[in-house]
Amino acid sequence: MDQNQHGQPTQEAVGKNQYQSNPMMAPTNPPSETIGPYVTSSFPREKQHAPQDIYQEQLNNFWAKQCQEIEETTDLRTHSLPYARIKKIMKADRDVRMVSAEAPVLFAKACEMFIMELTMKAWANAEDHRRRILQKSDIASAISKTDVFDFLEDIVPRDVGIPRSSIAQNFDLSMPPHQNVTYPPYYVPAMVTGRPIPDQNHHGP
Amino acid sequence: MEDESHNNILPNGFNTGSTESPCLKTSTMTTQHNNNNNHQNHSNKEQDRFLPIANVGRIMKKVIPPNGKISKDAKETVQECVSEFISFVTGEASDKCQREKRKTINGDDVIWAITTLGFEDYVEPLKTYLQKYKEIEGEKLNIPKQLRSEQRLHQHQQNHNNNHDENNNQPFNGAYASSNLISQPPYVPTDQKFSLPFSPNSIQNQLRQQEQIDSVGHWYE
Repeated sequence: MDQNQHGQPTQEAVGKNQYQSNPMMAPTNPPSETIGPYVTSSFPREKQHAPQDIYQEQLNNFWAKQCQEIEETTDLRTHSLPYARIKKIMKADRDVRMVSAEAPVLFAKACEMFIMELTMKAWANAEDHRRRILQKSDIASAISKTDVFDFLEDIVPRDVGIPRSSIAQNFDLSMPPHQNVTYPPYYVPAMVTGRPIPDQNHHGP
Repeated sequence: MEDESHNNILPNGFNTGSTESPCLKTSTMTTQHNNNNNHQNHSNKEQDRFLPIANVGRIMKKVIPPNGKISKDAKETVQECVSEFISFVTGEASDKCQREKRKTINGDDVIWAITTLGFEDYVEPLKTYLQKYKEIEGEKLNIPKQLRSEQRLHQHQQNHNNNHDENNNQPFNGAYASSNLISQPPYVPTDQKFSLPFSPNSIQNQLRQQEQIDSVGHWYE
């Protein structure tokens, strides 16, 4: 697969350093230092403090890169999300009558950025808890920490979310076996409150 | 292949090529799991409410380290969040259209709603994106009449696949009106207009896009 890297030379260099450090970090460093691959060594880091400055800079780089990628785009058909499905979700609202062709195209891009922003913030939470697997609780935490995501509060419970079923967990644990060998097994943090019933799906009016 | 390469361009410069297979496995297992838990009708309806979990998972992978993993419930949660995001923004845009007694939600309405709802960081990228879209659409309108009919055919097919709109021509005419304002000369080579790279999607979407290819080829010949 051909890997096209768009970006300024300095950014590209940073990316390469991060990528190259992965093989070295994985086998030789203890689990407590597995934050290495994601955060460049040039950033000083206190384990006990949330690295807000680092993630803010990553977010800034992310948005700058978004503008750059769009500037370089010449074919809008290379999208990640299906327009037809987006339009169907838009028209689920009875008040919505007609939708121009450009609206789902814009939403495809907006949703892509939304997913990436939400995932970046969720991953920061997973990393703070020394985990390599992104959980629903990380999504919930990212939502609670971001004002602009207030409209999502009823999608996830405020307390730590519980996986929908133990079967789902087994699926996750059975993913790439060779990676399980490298890292310690997934550990479910102790739940203060348990919910035996799976989360009810809420959808907007 | 080419499109996959584009999708793997990462904001943080990470290379996710090596993790593609696990992602696909996850998607397959997720599909099986969902089918086991849902009645068929409910499953179809459920799937229509969300964007495909494979696409969502792939985008999520772009911004985490290569050795990071994403649980199935995290992907499902983000699926729900994205649908809520679409409904949230669409509702705001729809309210604005009603106040102004317009029937069609257009791109500017979407950007206005996103600004109003506090997603300031999204505005500049989306304005650039919309401008690009209008430029490309404007170029398409300079092509011969047969190809315009093909454009209308595309619009018709898209509407047919969804809930049938009362007035099929309205959105297309809207595109004409907005595109007529663009006076920039086309700069994209003609032959590029008909090469259609696709990102890997569900079979249904692939079939739809296949139809698009057939339509384009047919009229081009």
